[in-house]
Amino acid sequence: MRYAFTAPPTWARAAFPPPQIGVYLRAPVAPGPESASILLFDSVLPAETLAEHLDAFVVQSTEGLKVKAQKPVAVKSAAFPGLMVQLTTQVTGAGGKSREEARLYVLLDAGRVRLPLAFVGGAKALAAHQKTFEAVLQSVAPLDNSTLYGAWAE
Amino acid sequence: MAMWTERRRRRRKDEFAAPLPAEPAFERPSDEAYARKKQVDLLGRSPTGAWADGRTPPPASPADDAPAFVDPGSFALANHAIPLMESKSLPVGAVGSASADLDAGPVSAGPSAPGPAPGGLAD
Repeated sequence: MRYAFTAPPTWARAAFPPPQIGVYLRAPVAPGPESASILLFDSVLPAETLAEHLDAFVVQSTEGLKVKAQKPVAVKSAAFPGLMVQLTTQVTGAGGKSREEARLYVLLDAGRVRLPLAFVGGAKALAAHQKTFEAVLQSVAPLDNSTLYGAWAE
Repeated sequence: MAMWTERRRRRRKDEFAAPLPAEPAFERPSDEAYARKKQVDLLGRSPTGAWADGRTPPPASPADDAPAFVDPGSFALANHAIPLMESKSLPVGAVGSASADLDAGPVSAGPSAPGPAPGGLAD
């Protein structure tokens, strides 16, 4: 499924290396507790309920990590409803040092498919970039294909 | 003398071929004449999945044992279906990569526009 979003103006942006499909947004800050990235993934087919699907997303991507997760909350983009869960985890960074990481996982329900999004950042990244992530989340909508060359995709 | 006569009679019997049947058969039975190999089951050989359920069945031949020809081009056109490109698996690998990338070097915003940049995610 194609969907549109509005990327933050100053963030770096790159497509996932093939054969993966997705967009990687990186905050323009030096590596540290405020560094953060937003991941927009390709759509996936629905499996079970939205809450169970989101739970599977979290469990699979944090395998082997200690996680403190909050309860999922309902969110809504410009077109699709969804669920978001916030968690903190300890990961081993460069040089073998352990550091705290904040993550947000979102699964939007687009009917026939679901759209996963993720925010991955340092310990202070959420305080610095949560509004940016919410703005990106809010902008997710079906791609306007009504006019020829009205939209482009990457 | 009787012994000689018996020997001759036996020898004559062995020298001649078996007698032909009264009515000779000039044609084979019809079902054998028109027997042909069964067609390959194309549906059984195609990939499985949810997308495959919506295909039309292959053009039916008049009868299973009648001579028929299935045009491969027409069959391909009738059964063409685009598989769904959405995957069932969640993309968890990229999250780990993004986590590891947080320690990476300085990030440049690149040639971005001054305003918010529109984007789209292709399938």
